[in-house]
Amino acid sequence: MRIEDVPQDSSILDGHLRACYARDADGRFVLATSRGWDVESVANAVAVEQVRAGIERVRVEVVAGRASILAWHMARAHMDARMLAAHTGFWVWRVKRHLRPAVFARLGESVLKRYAAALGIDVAALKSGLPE
Amino acid sequence: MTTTVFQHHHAAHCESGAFAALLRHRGLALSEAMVFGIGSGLFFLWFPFIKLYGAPLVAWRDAPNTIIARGAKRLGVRIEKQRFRDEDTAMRELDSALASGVPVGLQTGVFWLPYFPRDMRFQFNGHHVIAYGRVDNDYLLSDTVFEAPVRCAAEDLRRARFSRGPLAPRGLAYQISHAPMEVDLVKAVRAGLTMTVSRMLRIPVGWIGIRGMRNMATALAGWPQRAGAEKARHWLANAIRMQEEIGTGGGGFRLMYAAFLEEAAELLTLPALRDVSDQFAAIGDGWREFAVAGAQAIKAGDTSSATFASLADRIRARADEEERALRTIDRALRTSA
Repeated sequence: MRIEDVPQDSSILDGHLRACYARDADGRFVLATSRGWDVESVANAVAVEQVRAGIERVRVEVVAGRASILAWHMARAHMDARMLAAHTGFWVWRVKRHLRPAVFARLGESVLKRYAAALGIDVAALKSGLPE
Repeated sequence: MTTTVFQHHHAAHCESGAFAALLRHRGLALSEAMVFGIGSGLFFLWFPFIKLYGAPLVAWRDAPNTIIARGAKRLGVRIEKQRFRDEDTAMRELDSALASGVPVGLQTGVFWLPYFPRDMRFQFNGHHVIAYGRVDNDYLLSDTVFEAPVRCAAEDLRRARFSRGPLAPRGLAYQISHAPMEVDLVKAVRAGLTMTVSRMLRIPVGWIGIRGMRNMATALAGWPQRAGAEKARHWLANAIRMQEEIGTGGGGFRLMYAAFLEEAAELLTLPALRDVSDQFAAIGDGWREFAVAGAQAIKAGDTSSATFASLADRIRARADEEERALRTIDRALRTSA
């Protein structure tokens, strides 16, 4: 890639610049900056859309009363039960059980605190249900 | 408030960038590309049986933290590194290092770093940053993939350092405890080259190096049939992201490697390496064209077998070119030994 070919597309970088390697006029490699590349944005959009679709699926389940609010917060943190278990120190089967609304409703403060800490939110947010 | 005078340097890749910056701080001025090459960062790994982000794991580089470990050994640099059980201890130790003016490398989880653009915040725990100061509740970070230093609140940094799941950093902090006055760069570069050649060409399993590339090509050609249109599209997008988005300097680290070879050719006075640098420049561009073609297919919703077969052919072509280039390096090293 030559410096003049370094893509400068508006993109996922939010105005940041990315460093990449390109050749200058003398044919030597230098570090050039890029504002982003459409190709990357296309690939990134697929990943972002996957995550969003996952969150939406969980939201529908929560609204229908088939999953607890914990499932929604977990999806928003890009986690699955195994990962949330790693973050909280609970067993995976226990986390999975807490994804059931009836079980979640009975959870004590200390358990909720651990979930809230792992998800980076406060206990009130965890208990208050889906935002409108 | 504690801050150290620390020169921020923009780099393409977090781990080699962070290590190069720490070395520079200790008076060992090496480029990021040089650090990447000496640490044998160039690699190819195809682990279809591990799913990351719901897609088969593919990487154009070696496992996280290996570049620093190998680089340090080959340069004769001693690194003091520590992981922590206790989060408070980890943060206290960081504060005391910063108070004594020592910049500290940290392994972090990207998802928890608020200064990252929103759409780039995924659960990836192998990200390296350097902390060099603290102002009130904010840490001053030199994250080399950003063009300027950034600030990060203490709670966020703590969360990022203790992110769990794959590659969990467990608070990993490292600093250079000893840097030699004189470094045998020629020897270090030769060691880096030799290892890359041998790991890319001579590991007799199908998931690694050139073999991995060819096997990925075969698998990719079958995605639309075997996994269905939706997964084929998702997996292809993931491969492109690993190649371009995750701080590779373009073309899956191949352009950075070309830059390294350019420096190596002069250092070792081996003109053959200059030719290989040209080859890797073309290979990097070839990988970028693969990304362009892949993105076109994704955009057009094209998951036909013919399109994926032609994408697979592009990967095979890169495999052939890389094999040729690596064999040239191998010959050049042997004849000049």
